[in-house]
Amino acid sequence: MKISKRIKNCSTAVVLILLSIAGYLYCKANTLAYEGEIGSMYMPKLLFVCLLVLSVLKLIYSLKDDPTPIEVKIDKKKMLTGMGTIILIGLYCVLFKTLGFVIVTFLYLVGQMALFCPGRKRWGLVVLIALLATAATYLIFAVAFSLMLPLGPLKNILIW
Amino acid sequence: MMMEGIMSVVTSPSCWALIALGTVIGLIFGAIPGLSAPMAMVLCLPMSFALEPVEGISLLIALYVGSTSGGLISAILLEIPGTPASIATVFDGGPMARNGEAGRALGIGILYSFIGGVISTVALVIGAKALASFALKFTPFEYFAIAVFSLTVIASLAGKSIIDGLISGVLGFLVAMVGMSPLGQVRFTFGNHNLLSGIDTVPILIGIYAIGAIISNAFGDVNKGVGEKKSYKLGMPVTWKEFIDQSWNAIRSAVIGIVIGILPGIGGSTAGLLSYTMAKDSSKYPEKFGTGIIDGVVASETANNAVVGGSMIPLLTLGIPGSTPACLLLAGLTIHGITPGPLVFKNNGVFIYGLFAAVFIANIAFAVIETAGIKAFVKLLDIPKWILYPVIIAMCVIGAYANNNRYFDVILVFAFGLATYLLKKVGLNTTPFIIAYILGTLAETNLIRALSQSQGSWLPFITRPISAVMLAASVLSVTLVIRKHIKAKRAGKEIEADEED
Repeated sequence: MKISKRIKNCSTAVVLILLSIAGYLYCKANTLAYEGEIGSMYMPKLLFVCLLVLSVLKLIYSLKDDPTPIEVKIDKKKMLTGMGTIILIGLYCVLFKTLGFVIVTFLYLVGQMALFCPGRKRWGLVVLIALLATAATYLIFAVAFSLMLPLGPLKNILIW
Repeated sequence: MMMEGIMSVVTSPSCWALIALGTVIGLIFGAIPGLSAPMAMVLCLPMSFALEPVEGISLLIALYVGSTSGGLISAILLEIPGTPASIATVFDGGPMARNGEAGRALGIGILYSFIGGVISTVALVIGAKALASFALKFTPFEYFAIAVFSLTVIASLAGKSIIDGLISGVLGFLVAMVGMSPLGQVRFTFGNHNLLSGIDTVPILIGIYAIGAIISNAFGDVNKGVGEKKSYKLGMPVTWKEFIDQSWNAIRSAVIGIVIGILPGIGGSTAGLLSYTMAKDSSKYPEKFGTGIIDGVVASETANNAVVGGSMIPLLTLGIPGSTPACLLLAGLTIHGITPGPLVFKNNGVFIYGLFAAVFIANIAFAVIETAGIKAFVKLLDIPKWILYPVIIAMCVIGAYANNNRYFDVILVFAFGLATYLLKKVGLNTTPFIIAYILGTLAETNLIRALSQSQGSWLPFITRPISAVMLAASVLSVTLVIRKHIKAKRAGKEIEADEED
């Protein structure tokens, strides 16, 4: 894949410019007249103006960047590991309440360790470590520190 | 009265045992991102009611001291601040660990945390009343000036591009604006009631330093260095010469920590950032900050531990708790029938001096316990990353939930983790983001209060001496950084021109 530094930086600058304009307009629309000049939206408006100025400066400096596209070598294995990590962490967070922290932590640890494990996958070791780590977090957080964490389907089985 | 109070703690085996227990629990809470001093103190508060007053309060103080110090363990070894007060420790402590100096970094952090704690305890004992009256001189103008000066560290930590650093800082500042404004208007919540109180510091810290960092590593070589023999440099953390060289840095940082601790509502994170800023600005080699030098760790850890003693000054002498842990200490004192305020030394002098002894012993306890555990802590780095990273993420996510018992915080952790990865991909450093986020609320709240007091006039910012000095120092600091950047760019262009010739 080829991408030039100029295009990357200019695109970022344009996105930031649009964000700052949208943000400023939002602040203007939500300014309360009775608060006076220094109101709740004073600082956000000031910040969006600063962001606009800085983004324009970034755009100007980016136009001086080298336009030559640089070959970016994509390692498929690393890309899969990275995307897989994002998906696993996302699922872990989303299902944290539904499945309860015990089940979802165990499943996450198995999945993530299997993804990160170098060489041949050692499923037995991965499951064992995930089991021990999950048990340790349950004992530390739920039993020792008495923190109220979601248990999901296990709420009638496990004791605080 | 003083000797009676001190001996009541020193000669009590139960006090020693409770202080040791509180320190260990506090260290664990401080080291795990998401868990904190207030959490540890809340859990143990009911236990303290059943104890004698001096025993109960000794336990709470040990928890406070232990958790403040515990934050340095994960800050140095994992580059994830265990508590917000340890953010600045990550800047140099983390690189030190990466350079094979993990043991030395921990040793330095523990030594100077102890020094900061002892200096602030001495200040507490000798000058509590005088320092409390000094605190009353600080108005919103001075608070705003402190925030602005601390923000100038963004310019020096921005990296190669000051513009990108400032953009990141502005984005962090904007995130701090989410929720209720100082004037009561709801901003940027888009109808989500979970955002009414703003975005909590803990999910952001965990998202940026834990999730974001591990996602970035996942796209690289996760198991880099597996099988390599590593050296962590255990032994004496500093030479005698280094100790002398760092003495001024340590004393200045302790003073900053004490002053910040005295001022209600600021906190250890600002103390760490401010002392780091001043250490960098006054250093002969500022360009080395952020690469793994001891000055940064000394500044941050001395200051954040000095905050503990400092925060107890307004608590005991004026009855004003300046931080959440101080609020919990106040709760403990009230339950035990001790009323903090101007008459506390007259009515409960023996107890108060016993409390001072407990603070001192807690500092000794954490120094001994953490030093004894350095080898074990450093062994964490030997755990293969394919096991360590997932366990860290699991503990951080659980810690984020436990912080407020809120599922929304878990979602925020993931969102900020993903955002960190994307920001890094487009070349934006997250350090200015987090600094501006932490200081943003302090700056805005006090700006509005100050302008309300002065009826819109900006003149008092310049006419009030403390405010004027801090703002002038801010301008000077930023000017020097920009000048350095311009010089460096010109030197780079001259080299390119010479090469072309």
